[in-house]
Amino acid sequence: MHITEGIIRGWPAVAYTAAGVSLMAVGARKMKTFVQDNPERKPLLGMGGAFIFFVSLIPIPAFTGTCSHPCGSPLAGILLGPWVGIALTGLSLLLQAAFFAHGGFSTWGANLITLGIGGAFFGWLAYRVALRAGCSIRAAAAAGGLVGDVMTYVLAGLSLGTVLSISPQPQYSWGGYLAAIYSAYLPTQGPIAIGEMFVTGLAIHYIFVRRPEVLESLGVISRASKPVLAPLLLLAMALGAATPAQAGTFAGMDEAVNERIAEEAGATPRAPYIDTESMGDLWNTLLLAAGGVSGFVIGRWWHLLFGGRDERKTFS
Amino acid sequence: MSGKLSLRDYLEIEEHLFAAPPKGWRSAGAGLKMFLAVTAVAANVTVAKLPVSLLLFAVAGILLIGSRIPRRQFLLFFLAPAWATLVVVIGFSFGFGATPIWSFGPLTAYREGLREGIAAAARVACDMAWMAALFLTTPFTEQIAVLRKIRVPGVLVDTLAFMYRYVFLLWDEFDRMWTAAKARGGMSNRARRIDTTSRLAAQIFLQAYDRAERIDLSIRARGGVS
Repeated sequence: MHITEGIIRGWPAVAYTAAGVSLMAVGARKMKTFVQDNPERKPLLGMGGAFIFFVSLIPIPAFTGTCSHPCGSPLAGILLGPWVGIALTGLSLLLQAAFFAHGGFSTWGANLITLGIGGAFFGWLAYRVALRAGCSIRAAAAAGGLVGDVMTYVLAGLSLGTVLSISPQPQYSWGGYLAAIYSAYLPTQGPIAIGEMFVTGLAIHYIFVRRPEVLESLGVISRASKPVLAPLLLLAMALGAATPAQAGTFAGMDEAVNERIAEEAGATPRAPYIDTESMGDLWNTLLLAAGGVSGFVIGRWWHLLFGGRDERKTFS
Repeated sequence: MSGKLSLRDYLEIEEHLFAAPPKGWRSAGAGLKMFLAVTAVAANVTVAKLPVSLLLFAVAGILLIGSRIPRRQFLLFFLAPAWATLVVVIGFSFGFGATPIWSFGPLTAYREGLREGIAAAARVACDMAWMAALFLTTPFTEQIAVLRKIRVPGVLVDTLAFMYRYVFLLWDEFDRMWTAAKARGGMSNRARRIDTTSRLAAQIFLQAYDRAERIDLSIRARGGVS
């Protein structure tokens, strides 16, 4: 997925290139740190870059028998980390622009933002979140591939829509261009995203099955669990607790109104078969059982998210 | 499976570069050629006027003709972006402008849009002509040396050099495995094709990983630091 050469020009091209160079600068710094920490891995960066270049040339089944090329950057982000993935994507785009005019020099910055941020970063993020949430490595990588691809298309549409809407004599508004671009992407890029989802998920799975130590050495299946989801979980709980307090005006259902509606519909109200209100012990037993089950569920999820790792669950 | 254009073509370009004696534009310094190519591409993109693009294209064309580049290699640089550029020209023709020149149902092509599209195609041709003028006359190792000289971060230059060196190798290995998988029925339907592609990608990654380790070991064995 590349924004074609020739579309972006003038100051937007300069602005995108400047943004791309900034991303590369950060990526280069991360690569430097990577090499300082692991000097024996320096050739791996080059091989990783060659791998990204190569992956983006692999034909995958796309649309009614045709083939297209995957982004490759979600896979690179998952395997080598988001910043190294972004920097290698930048270098790969440079070679592709020079040799194949895949993308181009005027669109290099825009392509780096879409494939680097959208593909490598969001692909890595989705993979990490899915893995922490207890998904298998195959499902987590597939989620990374899909999210990375979709975000690439979202950012590419935004970049293109913005540039086209500020061109002289545009036919549509910004929203109109976005609608047109995304409508065009849906049937063409949608199948590619699904294809890349499967390829990314299966590729990581096969690497794990054959050589799990490689993924471990790259930190792809790091055993150290960091509470990434804890703030999200706490936020969700806080929101859940805050909602009834904010609702304020809602005073519950009016039973008289309900019974009146039921009577008008021909359904006479009758006493419930099991009246928990009049049977205090039954109500207490139900509450106790529900509390026990919830405790087990929460405990299990807590263990999956922050506790020790269950090999079978996490990496099967 | 490699289609009309493949990485192999670019390897042939390198072979040709080292085989032919340098003369004319070829014998010019790599630094000068890179400076001119970057300046031309930057001017082409930022000025973005049709006459400027055509002028720069003509200059690159003259340099290429004077260098006696094999026609097939020269055409590679223009065939690669042809399809995408055609889509841009059509898209611009229908997407911009106020003066209708042709209608088909709800779609209308505009004169101004067509002009924009042609200008975009000229920009692509100009960029690719300058890339051809650089890559068809200058070995990649010389370009890498120039990047080192102008103090591009070493880690980026080394990685770029590694990428260029090994992408051909990875592609060759993939191509061989792809052909073997196809012959064994690994591409017989869509699901199997995706599965086979994933297996091959995983295998290539593992080979790349092992090769990186072997490279490091061989460098260390010779007393160097990778």
